[in-house]
Amino acid sequence: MRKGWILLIFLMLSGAGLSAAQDKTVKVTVLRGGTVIDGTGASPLADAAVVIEGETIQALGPLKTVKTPQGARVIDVSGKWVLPGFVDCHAHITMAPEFLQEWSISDSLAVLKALHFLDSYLRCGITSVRDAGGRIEALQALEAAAGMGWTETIRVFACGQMLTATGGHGYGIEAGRGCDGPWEWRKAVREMYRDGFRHIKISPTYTREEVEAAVDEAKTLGMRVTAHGGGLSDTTPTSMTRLAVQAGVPCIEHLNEMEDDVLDLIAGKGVFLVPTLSIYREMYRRNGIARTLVEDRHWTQAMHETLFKKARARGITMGIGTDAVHSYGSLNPGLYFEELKYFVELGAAPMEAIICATRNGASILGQKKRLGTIEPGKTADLQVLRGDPLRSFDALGKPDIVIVGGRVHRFE
Amino acid sequence: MPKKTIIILMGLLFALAYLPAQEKKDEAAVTALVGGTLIDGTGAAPLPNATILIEGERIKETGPAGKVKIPKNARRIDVSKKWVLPGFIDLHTHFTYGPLAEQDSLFPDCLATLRALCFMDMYLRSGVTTTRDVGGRVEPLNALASASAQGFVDTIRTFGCGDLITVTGGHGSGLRSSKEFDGPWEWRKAVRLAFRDGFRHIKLSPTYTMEEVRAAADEARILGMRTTVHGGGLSDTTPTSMTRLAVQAGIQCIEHVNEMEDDVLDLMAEKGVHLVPTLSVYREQYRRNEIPPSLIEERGWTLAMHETLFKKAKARGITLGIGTDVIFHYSGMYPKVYFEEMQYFVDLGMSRMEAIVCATRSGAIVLGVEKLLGTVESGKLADLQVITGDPLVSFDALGQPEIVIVGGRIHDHKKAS
Repeated sequence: MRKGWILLIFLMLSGAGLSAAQDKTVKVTVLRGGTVIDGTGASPLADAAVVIEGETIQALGPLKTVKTPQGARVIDVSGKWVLPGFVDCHAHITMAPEFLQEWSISDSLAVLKALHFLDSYLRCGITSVRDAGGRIEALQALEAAAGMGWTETIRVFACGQMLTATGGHGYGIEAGRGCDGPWEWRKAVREMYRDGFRHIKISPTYTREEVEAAVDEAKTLGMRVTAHGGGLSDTTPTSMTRLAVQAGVPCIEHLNEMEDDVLDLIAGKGVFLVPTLSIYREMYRRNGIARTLVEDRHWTQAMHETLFKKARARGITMGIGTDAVHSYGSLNPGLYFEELKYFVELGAAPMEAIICATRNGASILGQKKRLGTIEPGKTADLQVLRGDPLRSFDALGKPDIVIVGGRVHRFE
Repeated sequence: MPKKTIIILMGLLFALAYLPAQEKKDEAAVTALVGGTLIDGTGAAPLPNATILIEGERIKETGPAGKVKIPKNARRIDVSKKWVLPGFIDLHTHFTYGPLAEQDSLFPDCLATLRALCFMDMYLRSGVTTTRDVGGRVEPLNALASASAQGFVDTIRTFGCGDLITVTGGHGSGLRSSKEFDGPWEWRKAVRLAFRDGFRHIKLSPTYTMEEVRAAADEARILGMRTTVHGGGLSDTTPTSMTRLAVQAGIQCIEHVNEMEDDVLDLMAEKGVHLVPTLSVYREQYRRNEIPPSLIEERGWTLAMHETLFKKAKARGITLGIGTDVIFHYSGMYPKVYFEEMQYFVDLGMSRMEAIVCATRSGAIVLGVEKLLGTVESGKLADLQVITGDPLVSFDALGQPEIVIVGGRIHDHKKAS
């Protein structure tokens, strides 16, 4: 069934679809006069021009040196700030609004909820999201509908179901898949590939053989792997993150219970880290951290914060992830910006936090050649802000304009 | 999946789905459309320089500029040199079908849901604010209603019929959004199933016997559901006698106009049965040479047959509504086909005002919601559109409204573009 309809969609993609009312006459758009913060960490460029041709950034530079092509649509953004679209490395867009609804919500309702989430991100300037575990059919439908032009929203880089052991973290809901033994883990990776996904999310528990099998298969298939680094459930032994890093997983989600030598290893191997600090803070606030973690394993918010500082001191590349699911879903989309502010509270410079949200996000998604910064040749995912984000992050989350792959969305 | 749970949930939500307006508290409580010419959908003469007050999801008051007092804190929208009309109603859509007839059953529900939303948003941009879905997939229709109630989507209203009800091998058989039933008790149960699934409208599809259609009509009456029936024609499995049976059995509305004897039309007029001709999709089928050969060769179908029947129905004063029924490889005709149907009514002898009434008040009457929708009158739900040309002079301005309001929610398409 699943396979059948993937083929069907493939056929349809090559045919004519209902296309969203797209203005095909305008090929070149120029954003003139704004201050560009390009996501590389370079100093802001005032009085800049950004030339977008089709879906690609064609030129960036001072107004005087960049020529505006004839017939271009010129958008005056003077007095405003132009940034890359932000990247959320950790969301679960197809999960139900409440945990108990995971077993009653239909895929059809899940896609509508997901689309609502994506559109709310679009309005906030977040133009890419990695779905770190979700419903297969729903994620496929979102991808297919975007391909057909039936929806027009932000980019989703989906992992499909999160892979875990029988009874592991994420097991038992549609968004998770239990597998036991290295060959089942290898097969599970192949299934995600077959179902159209190019990212893999693994979730504890697992043995070394299992995680190594998954990592090896993902490498063969050219897929990117990330691992749940424990903590949202008490099923996660502290040794899991170490295993994952040793096995070659290039990214760790969440930041908790990591020994210093694991952090050293993460730094040494260039493994990425998505701390998701803000959702933890909210869970502590709501008393939603599992009791055993607090009572037996002595979790506190300070533990996460200390680990963040240690990771930062080691120069580990970090990204912004939210992970607000189920009853925490109402925190979206604002939680994303809380996370940026949190990074700054814990010592990051505003520019550094912006890099986490842009260039680092793209690196984590394996998209650094295409996304994450405003540079000629890259895909035009941009946002135009009314205030200087280096002065205050209050300017974030309410852009006047958001551009995704050259498509201009105006919200002013 | 525990279907019962979902259904109970849906049932609760469905009650809300009729009035899905999500009031934003920060919006001004009262909105005033000022300076426009109001064509209110009742057929009354246009009212120049009208004031329309909208409070929450409803129309509070309408009248000439001097006579309507605008509250101080009201949000004023200047629509001078523009025309204000009720949102239009499409009585015949199948937005949850797959894109291809042959593989409809392979097309997943969640993708059908997104496709349906695409059509609904397209209609929202075009000024069509309500559709009746006369045969659609249960899960997507329920998901759309539920998502609307929960604020995940912000689009037009849908009155769904759920699955088409037909007999084994009947019209629509094989589609994911049809179910086959045989015998009066199964037909009665079919109606109950649709009710259970949250639907308040029923679509029947030939063939059926008098016992079967009567059982369905009776059960729908008990449950307070409205009924409509496919009046033959899109498939050669429909004997001409079917429409007569349906009208005799007490079905409230006929879809499509074809192969009707004069006495059936008389009976429809007498019983107040409504008619949704869907002429434009027939015209396109003739153009594309896709009317089944047997209908043309053996039953002598021509486009003129439909047109003549339309004129006869109009002459008898039968309530006519606008329905499109553009599906599968005809889907590219959306949204224009809606306005082509209105123009077609005019081409066949209606005044433009009459065609506008078909698209508005008559649509609401067919849906059984004339107290809530269809006209711009105080107390009704605020489903409106603002267009830039006089629709009594030409329909060219239809389909590209500057503003569309659904249940008081304002969609400013001028700003968005």
